[in-house]
Amino acid sequence: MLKNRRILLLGLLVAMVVLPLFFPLYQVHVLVLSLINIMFALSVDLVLGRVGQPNFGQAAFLGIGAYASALFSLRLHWPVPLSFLGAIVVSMVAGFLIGKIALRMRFFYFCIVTISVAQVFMLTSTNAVGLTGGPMGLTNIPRPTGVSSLKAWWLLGFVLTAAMLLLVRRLDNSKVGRAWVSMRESEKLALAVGVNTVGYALLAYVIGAGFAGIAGSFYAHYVAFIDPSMFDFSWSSMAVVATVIGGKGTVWGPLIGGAMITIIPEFLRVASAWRLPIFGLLLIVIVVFMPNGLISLPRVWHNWRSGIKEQV
Amino acid sequence: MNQFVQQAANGLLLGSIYSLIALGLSMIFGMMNIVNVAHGDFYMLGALVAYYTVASFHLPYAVAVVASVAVVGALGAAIERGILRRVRESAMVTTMLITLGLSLLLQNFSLMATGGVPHFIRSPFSPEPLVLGLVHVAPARLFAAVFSILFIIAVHLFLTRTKWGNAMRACFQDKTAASLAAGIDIEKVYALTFALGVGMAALAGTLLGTIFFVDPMMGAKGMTKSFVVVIVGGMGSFVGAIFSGLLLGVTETLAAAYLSSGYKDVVGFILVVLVLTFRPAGLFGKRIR
Repeated sequence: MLKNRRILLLGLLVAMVVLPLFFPLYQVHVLVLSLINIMFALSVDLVLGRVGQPNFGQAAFLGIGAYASALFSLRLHWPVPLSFLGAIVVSMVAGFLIGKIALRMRFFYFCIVTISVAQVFMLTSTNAVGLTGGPMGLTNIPRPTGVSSLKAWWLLGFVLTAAMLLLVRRLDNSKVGRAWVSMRESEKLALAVGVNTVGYALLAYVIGAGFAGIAGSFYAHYVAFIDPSMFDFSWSSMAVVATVIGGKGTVWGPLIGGAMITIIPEFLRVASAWRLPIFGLLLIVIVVFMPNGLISLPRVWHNWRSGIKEQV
Repeated sequence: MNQFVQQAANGLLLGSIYSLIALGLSMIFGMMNIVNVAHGDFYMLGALVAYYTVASFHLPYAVAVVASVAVVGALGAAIERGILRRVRESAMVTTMLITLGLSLLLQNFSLMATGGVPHFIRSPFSPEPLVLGLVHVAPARLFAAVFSILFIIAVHLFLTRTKWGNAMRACFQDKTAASLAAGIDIEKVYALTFALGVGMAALAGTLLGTIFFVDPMMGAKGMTKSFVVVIVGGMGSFVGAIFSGLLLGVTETLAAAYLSSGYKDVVGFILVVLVLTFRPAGLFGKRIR
């Protein structure tokens, strides 16, 4: 059974990598965008799903990663892989400094501090015209050598996303993951049994910032253009929607959610104006009726079939 | 010096409206333990309803103000009964996610309704500024400020002098005791609180809508401003919200005049960081979280 499942998973994985290579270009482009959303949703979920705090300002790190990477490449003429690594370091350092302050707060305060930080970065990138190009943004961000075709971007993005998913899975199944679960369920109890809640929360925050930095850097080099809207609240809120729809605090939730919020709107092209209201409604419905997200659908279905009433 | 006094006066006028929005947010949080992420969108909705009442139905501005508060208040009560009631005992993150969903809904429905075109609410006030001693004041601004101060006083009287107001304050202090010992119908108090809270945001929207543009994206600004005011003033503090609303209005206006208009919105966030560092409970807050 287990062996069969492994083979099935492996086959699925290979199919996922290979099949898009035969897709029309536009579809591949949508898939690459969904990878970016998945990476970003994963980063949001590290704080939302692990520490249990409303992470509504994660666009700060998406933007920091994007701007750092673009500026390293454009102004310092670093090769793209180096800019990419530099961007990760910068966003993690920023995550450490901001996390140090923000994680002292809870809920309302955490929310406003993280949103504020993103806003301050947005205002700075709009006003510091000399460095960031202001509202005009940065253009002609170089692409990495050897990654010129869309299909190459797909493969690169796939490898990055898979690596991030594996890392999160690894962490979830380790001592760190157990600490996160204990904190999310009851912070007081976690503290009482000697879990270093401050340290583990900061760890989640810094890794999340790094992930957002990866997504931002990938986006900047892929689209080759960024502007202050990278820091916009709508980025943060869409990632929260993706995470919650998929299932927060899980590995596969952000994957499902991130793919859904990118791919479904493409089917709803005619109703493009309805895209965001639909996700707003979906968010409310899922939170009220299926708090564990779509990932819990099989269990909810099973329980419903066998008439089990589950306490949420 | 004259310019300074003028700017400070402008700031005070603007600030009194910030206080009004923020009080609604503070009440909802204090009473219901809900962080209303959609608060700014109710403020936007208030402005939009007023705009359409004036522009499409050709009704006077005064009617528009009343209609807007009534419509948004009723919507608030409906949302409380229909959605928020179901998640009353859930974690705070859950209700925040729901209000985030509401925010997306309200914002984008308004975007569809207006087509994203910014509007002005036509008000009956003349654009000719009044001269009050050293300062020149646009009548619309003066009206907005005076009206929001009067409304804040009215809400204060409602909370302290009436049966329902007392019930709300009792629930604010201890819900269980209020329902068991005092026999207060908590369900009604919840709906009333949410309706009143978002109604205050809507009122602020109708007042600011005659001064600034009304557009579906203005909610984000309303939200961040009211969050800043509530944190600086202290969660659940009436005096705090009023004082810090005025403080934010004045510092912002002065920063725009003397430093750089591009960075004026940063002022609020600097205030937040300072307050959270040195007085985490806010300037007037008594309780620590």
